Amino acid sequence: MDDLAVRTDSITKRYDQAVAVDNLSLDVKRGEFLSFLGPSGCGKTTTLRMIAGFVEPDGGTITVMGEDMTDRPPHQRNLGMVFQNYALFPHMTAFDNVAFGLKMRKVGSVERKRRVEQALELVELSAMRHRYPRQLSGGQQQRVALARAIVIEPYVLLLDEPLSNLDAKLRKAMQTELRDLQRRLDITAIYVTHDQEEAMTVSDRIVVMNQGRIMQIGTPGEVYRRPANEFVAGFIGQVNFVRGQLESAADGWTFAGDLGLVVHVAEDAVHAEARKAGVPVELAIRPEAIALRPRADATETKAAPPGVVIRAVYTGASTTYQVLLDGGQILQVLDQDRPDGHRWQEGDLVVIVLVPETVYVVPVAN
Amino acid sequence: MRGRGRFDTGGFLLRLYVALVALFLVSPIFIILLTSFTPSESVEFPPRGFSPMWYGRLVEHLDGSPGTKPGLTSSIVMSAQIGLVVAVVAVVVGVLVALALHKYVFPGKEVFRNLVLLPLMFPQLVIGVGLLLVFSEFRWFGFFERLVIGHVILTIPFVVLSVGASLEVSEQDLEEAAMGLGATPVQTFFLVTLPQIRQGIIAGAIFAFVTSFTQFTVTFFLYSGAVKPLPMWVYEIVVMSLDPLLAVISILLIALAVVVVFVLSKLVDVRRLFGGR
Repeated sequence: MDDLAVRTDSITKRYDQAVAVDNLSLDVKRGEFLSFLGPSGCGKTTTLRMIAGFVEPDGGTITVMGEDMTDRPPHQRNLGMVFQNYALFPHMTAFDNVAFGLKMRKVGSVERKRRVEQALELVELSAMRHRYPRQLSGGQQQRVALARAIVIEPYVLLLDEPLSNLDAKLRKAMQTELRDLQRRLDITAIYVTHDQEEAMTVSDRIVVMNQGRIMQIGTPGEVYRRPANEFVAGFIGQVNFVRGQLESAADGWTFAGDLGLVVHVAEDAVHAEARKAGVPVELAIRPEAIALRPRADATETKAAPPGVVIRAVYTGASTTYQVLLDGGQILQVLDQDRPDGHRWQEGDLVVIVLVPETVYVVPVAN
Repeated sequence: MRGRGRFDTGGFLLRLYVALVALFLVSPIFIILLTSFTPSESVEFPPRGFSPMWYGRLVEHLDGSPGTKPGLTSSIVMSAQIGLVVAVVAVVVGVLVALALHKYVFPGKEVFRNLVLLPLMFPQLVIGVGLLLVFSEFRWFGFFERLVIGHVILTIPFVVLSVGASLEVSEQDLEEAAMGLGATPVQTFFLVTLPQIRQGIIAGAIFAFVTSFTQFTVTFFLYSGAVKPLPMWVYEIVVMSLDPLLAVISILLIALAVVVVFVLSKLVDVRRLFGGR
């Protein structure tokens, strides 16, 4: 209990008939960087806003640092919120924006000045302290917003898609910076994003959400390599699905796919739900888990179905292929750029070879 | 492409038309301006000469010199007092109404909005007569309060519209950000919301003051007593004679309006202010 920062206990929010958040229970550990990831309308922002106190849950309780916050107004929760559009006070300088929360806490002016300057230094904006928000770039505004949120030493830092208005390059830089800052301050952070790459980059754990429910909670490695279901597998990264049957075998399972693909999979590469008899299953194959071999020198085995390259897109570090299998299915294949510069051409006849350790059997989503 | 040097008939007609409309709009003001400099004892157009004598007469009226119609200065003071009170009351009520309309969803909201804005379209005559009947029937208030109430009804829509427009462009997240940082709802209103709608409040207050200061119809029905609001004082001159003093006062009121519009345009984006609801 002691290392718990936030606990939501079966919180629910309905808008008219639609359920935005459905009976959601979640524990956030102290010092953890946790992301809510999901498509728009999945309930991630509503959940964050319930924790912040801007949205009142229809049911359930919210506990922060052991205190029941469910009925407490936002200004008594001591949480630091960073908004997507920064929400800096336009009539105040950067300094005054950061000082606002301390003024509300009646921190004396000397102490206040010291802490504001420290916070601005932390986000490397000391030189901009007298500028108004409109005189700052988007990235700088976001840093001020961050400084404003952390200067009050909140129980938890809440971030609502804070980087989505920045251009791609700046966003990458800010992700790393944000992560470093959070580690250095040892602060608990809850981060909302619809960008799976961003969630993978910054998070200790990711909460994948869809339609108001938690699909999976896990480390970036877990949700990527061991997705809980078809939705998670499909939402995080690229994935190919092959339907088939699962049979128990010595030392694991045998997956017999629709395409004549037969693979031996290890015990832990099968989702618990998928092991139950009668549950329709499919094999999730990441594009990088497939290797292409020339058809001529590979014996066509059950593990190496034949196909033809129908599209090759070179992006420098890697090439993405679309391979049309003889069975009719199209697979996405990702190949790193090779030292010898070899690339498959459209029309090449190939066989596909799976890396068995990297595939995963999941139940088919209904 | 049109041939170079060919006469552009359509463009010429459009320009001519715009020029005529503009002339039509400003010509009464121009005529009044010329009339105010007449050297004769009564209004005539075109004036027979050029003399600032009626501006001198105005100063005499303000001084209350013998031979002038008394009460101009006290009329101006009274109208200014009414205008200030009206501006304050209209702003307080108008801001609350605008906030309610902006923030909350409640049954009958659209009806409420239309009722508040109704005085913009409703005949002022009816408002004046209606208020008079109610006030006399129940013997409510002195004439000063009656005038304030009448003018506030007329000017609230200006404040609601201008403050509403300010709210429309202000960021909703700002209030949440303030509360998240520990500001109570009251602190949030005064430290964050109010500065956001400052422009709308200033614009609404100025409109309210000017409207009240020059308001005739409703004032006509509601005033009584020895001291008359400025429009009533002017009206009494009109009834007696077409005095060039009228033209002088008109010119000064127009000058006031021009200054107000100029100041407003420096303070706020007027077009944006009345662009939306």
